[in-house]
Amino acid sequence: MASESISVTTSDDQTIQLSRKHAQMSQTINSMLEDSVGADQEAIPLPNVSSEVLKKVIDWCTHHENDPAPVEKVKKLNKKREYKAKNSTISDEWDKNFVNAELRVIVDILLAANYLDVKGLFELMCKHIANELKGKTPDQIRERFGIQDDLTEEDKAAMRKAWGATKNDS
Amino acid sequence: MSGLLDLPDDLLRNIIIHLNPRYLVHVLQTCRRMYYVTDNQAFWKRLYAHWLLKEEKSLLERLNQLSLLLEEDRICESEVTWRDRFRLRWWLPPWTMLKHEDIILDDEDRTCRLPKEYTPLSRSVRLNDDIQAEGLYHFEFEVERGPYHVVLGIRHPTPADQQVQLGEHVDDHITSMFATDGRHYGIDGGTPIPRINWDTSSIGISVRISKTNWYNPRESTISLKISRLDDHPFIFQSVEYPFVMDHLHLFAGLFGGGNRVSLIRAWRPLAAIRASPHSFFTAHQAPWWKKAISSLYRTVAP
Repeated sequence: MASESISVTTSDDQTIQLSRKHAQMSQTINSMLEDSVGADQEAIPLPNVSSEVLKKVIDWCTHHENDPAPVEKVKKLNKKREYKAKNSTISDEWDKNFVNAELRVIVDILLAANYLDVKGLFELMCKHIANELKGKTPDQIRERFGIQDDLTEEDKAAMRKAWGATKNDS
Repeated sequence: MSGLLDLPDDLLRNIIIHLNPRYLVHVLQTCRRMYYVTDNQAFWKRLYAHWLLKEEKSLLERLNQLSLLLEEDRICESEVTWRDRFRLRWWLPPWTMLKHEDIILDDEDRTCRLPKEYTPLSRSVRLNDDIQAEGLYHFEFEVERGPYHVVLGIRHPTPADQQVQLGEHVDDHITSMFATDGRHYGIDGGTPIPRINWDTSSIGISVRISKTNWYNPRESTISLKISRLDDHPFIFQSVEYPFVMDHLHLFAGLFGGGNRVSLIRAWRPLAAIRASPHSFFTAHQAPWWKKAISSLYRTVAP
């Protein structure tokens, strides 16, 4: 019988235990587990994820461990004829608190969610960053995200031609 | 330390796909990386489909639009990119939003003025200064590649039934003419069929001025507004035009795709619908409509 917990090694050489249920929420770890059936129970290496970020991922998985799978969710909503395309608002209060972190941490969690293939967490992080971009002028976005304006006048002219002048230009 | 620009291209695209088109344009203007990360046909196609599903309210409309999407993908016109399709459909605000918030409709002369941000390539010309006497006047404008929509506004102080006879088009360059008084003036004996010329580099019109149709040149005004049709599908004056334009591409799909010929062919049934909008809602019983629908599904079937 498979053990109830899995060991993983993070990029900073920390070994962390996580439950099999949480591990299976990551398609990447799940695939590794399936590939190593019958092999010695060694810690699974996660060279792209730090222990700090992995703990955040585990927190999210713990909160969402009883959520229905995405496919089931769509079927259920379709039945009620309430299906809508992906909504960009974050409705869960716990999630709102979860994403209330520094940009550096948010970006690291997004990268980890992408590497570990945790779909719900990945979508949450994308939505959060998109919400941070919403309603801001290019200058405000540069300031918020520390981006240098490296656009040339030719680039700006090409954009105006493609998209038209915006309120920000006038 | 990780920043937003440290993310790989595909992750950045996954983020900005959630943005409303209006905000998306601001994000593209922040830096070169953000602009060029979207230089990808697959991205715009995905974005187009995303907003299609998100915005369309009725299931039938979603199905219709998705069918067209498949059809457009099959045709794969090289000159029309997915970015342009997206821009045409989602970057430009919907008609209802413009009607209530942005559009400035002058009650007196019913001239439609759009805010600067939506009219980068349109211009208005007052023609009176060049008209001094009776005769046939020709006006021609050099423009970038079309298609264009031309609004010819004729306003008389009194009485309202005074009309200006519109002459023939010049060198096959004219696209269409609509008077801002709400009446539609065609170029083929008054037939309300606009000519859509996708390749024109100039637009010309002729206006015949005579005593019988020109009440008082000093007090009347003639103005011409030229707008790119692909940038301003909503510029038509009458309330039924947005309806017609919304369905033009749908009908074009029925007639074999989104190319120039099918658009022109699609206009004829739409003109009939425009003449009697109510009949559209019962038109599904008509044989031609059934035939068109079955034709569409044959076309998009794998």
